[in-house]
Amino acid sequence: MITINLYFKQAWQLMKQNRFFSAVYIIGTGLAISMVMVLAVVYYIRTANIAPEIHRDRMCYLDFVIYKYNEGNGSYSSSLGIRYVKDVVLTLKKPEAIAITTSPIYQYFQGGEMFASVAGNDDEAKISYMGCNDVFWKVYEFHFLYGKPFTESDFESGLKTVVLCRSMARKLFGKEDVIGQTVMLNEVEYRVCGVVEDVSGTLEHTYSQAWMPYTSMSNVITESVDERENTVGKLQANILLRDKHDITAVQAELEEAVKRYNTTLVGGQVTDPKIKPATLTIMGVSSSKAYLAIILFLLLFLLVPALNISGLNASHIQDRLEEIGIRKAFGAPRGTLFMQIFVENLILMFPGSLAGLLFSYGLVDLYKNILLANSYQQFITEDADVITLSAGMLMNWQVFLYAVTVCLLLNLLSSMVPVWNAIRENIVSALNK
Amino acid sequence: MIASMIRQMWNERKANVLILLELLVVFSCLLYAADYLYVKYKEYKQPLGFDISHVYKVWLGVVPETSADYDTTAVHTTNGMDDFFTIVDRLEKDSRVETVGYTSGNHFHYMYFNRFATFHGKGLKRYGYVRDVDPSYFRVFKVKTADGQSWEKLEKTLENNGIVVTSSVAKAYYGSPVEGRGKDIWITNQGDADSIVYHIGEVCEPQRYQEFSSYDYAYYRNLGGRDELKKYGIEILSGNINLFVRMKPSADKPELMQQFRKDMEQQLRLGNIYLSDVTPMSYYREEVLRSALDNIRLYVVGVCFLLFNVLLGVVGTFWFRARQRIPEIGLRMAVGASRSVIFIQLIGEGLMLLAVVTLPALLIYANLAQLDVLTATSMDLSMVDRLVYSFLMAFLTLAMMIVAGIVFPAKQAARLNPTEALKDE
Repeated sequence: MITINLYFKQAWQLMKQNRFFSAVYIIGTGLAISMVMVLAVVYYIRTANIAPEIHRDRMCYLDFVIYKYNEGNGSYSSSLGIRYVKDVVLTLKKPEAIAITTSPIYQYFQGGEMFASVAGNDDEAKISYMGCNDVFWKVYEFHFLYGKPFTESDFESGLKTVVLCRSMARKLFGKEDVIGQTVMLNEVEYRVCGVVEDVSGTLEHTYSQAWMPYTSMSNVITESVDERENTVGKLQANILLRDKHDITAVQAELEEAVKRYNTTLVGGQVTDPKIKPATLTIMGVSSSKAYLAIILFLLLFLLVPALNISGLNASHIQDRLEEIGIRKAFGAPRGTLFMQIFVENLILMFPGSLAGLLFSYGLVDLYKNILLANSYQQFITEDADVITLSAGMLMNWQVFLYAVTVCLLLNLLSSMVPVWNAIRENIVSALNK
Repeated sequence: MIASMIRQMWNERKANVLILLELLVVFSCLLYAADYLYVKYKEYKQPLGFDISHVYKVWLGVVPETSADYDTTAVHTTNGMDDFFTIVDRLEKDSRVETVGYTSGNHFHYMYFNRFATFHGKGLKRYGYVRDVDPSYFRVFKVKTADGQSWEKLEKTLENNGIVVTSSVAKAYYGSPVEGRGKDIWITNQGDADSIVYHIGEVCEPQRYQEFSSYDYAYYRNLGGRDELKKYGIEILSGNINLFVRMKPSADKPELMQQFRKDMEQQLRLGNIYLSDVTPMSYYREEVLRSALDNIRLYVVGVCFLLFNVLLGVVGTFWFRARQRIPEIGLRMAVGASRSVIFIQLIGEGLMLLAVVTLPALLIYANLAQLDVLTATSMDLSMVDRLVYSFLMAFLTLAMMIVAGIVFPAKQAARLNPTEALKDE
């Protein structure tokens, strides 16, 4: 404890003595940390369990079905159809729970716009919406301010009931406690059963402003006579696994179920069903490519400042060769010397890192529409403000842990070589200076 | 002097390794980024093939039949489209308006409303667009012909039931844009089973959607005269017709537009049609360009980060170096080196570092170019130009940063008093 205290004192003295060096050092580390932390924060927001998507690590998704006609080469592929969901997806036993929703892309490209209005308020508000089943509320943890989610029987009966987000309730009714009130959604009367906290647009599987049973949406559930239209449709399945390694087992079970389902089809076959694990998308680049981009970025944005600071350290240590020589002459072991300089640098790095972290929050906020938007949201320019950041997304122990790791790494990269060189220096030549 | 700089660098090779490595990495990245920015700049600068300055989109609303506001006694007994044409005429008569035009729902610059078409012939197949427009479209957007003449010829072509193709089409099929004039071409429109022969009356300048996209294959045909359009009901107005006005430059000021909007709201309420908004085309342009510009901004942020790092690195290294070399500098001054010689010597040493990494950085860059990882573009840019410009840009900015980083320590060193400096010895 005493030595650490001593290191602190010494580092502080050095900082005061050599203001120019300290300033350059602090700015340099701050820059490095901020760039890397932008990535770390984005990575966290895209992959961590953030309410309401509290089980992202155990989720996988099924949002694509290919229907191949028996005659000719034609095939038809899109989201899941109503019968496919009933006869295939919901028969799976391995997963813990399966939430069915209208696919997020759906409302932009197939479903059309929805306008909400309330009696006594002339303004119509454009609203983003999502149809879902009752399990949705169990898989995801929404913060209900008022009321409750709709129940299984509400869902089964296709009751016209809706959960609104807080800001939309306020916009429409002028207040938030609106349970039991009615709202017109595209001229259809819905009763509000719950009001939840707003969801950030970056949580693509839950983001919406209104959630209703998809059984209440006539254009989703209307069964047609055409088996292709019942197989390929507008829904997707968000599957909660019991254990994240279950995905292969569930995939196998799905393939079995599809085989069974195919025997009931006449005009075509469902081919290549594929469950997708949660993918990382950054700036419209997804999965393995995104990881590669992150690694390249990390290398570049950590390596360059590390080289920089390394150069600074190398020059700085020249000034301290006498001191090191004397201490060595009095018998200080190399490890102690190394540790001391390492800790000193770490302390020197602290103010820069803190500033860098705060700066990175600013950058993420500034560029959130590029960094955090989903691939389909990038097409939809009018929804520029749906991506919101909460304090919990930015400040949490994982992000802080990343920051500390980056700091240590940067320090290790930048002080190792120069310090080691200095320590190895001959006592005599060091003292000769 | 250069020889002494090289010797100096060699003597400090150990201390120089780190800064050299940093310069190398940054130089390579800068080359890549400079090339990206150069390509984007060139794309941005290419002509668009239309002009949206002072052009506004007029949004008309139609009262639905189910609404309580629906006017069943609408003045025009024949057809609601008459109301639309009255609106067009009223706009045209307004002293603040230069000209009025309309297109079908599938043509609207900066908005991706499209109907596709495939061009055939000569064993070539090109995918593009069909754009049904009123001849007045060319007037409003000031589209030129392929040989640079104004819109009148294009307007006349459509009126005479010929089609207008873009230069890209004519160039692909007939070698040069002007050669396309008077030729016939086979086109399949989206939704049709068979292709139709069209007579190309005129070729317009190459056109594209927005500043960063490539030139499109497209052709224009007449939407149909007024009598033709009157066969449709007014429902055609909601989404199937886009109405544009070009304002006189003197009238295109925010306050004046406010007034214009207010006046028009009263004048354009006709039958079951009402004016819902007047939006400048620049609004749609900004919407479309936002993500492209955001990307460019990210690159700029990255470049600034790297450059700032170089600055810090150079300042740090040279500051210490100048201090450690105080005795040497003092000695030089004592034997007659002037302050400016000392200053130039230090700056020269910095630039020498850059000179050393230039070749390896260029090698890395050439390899990247070979691997095709450089920015892809549909524009016809010469690779040599790209290389030269990106090299110059990267080299000069880096040199500037290095000089800026050394100026302060070098000044300090040059200001030394030789006697002070030599005290140490």
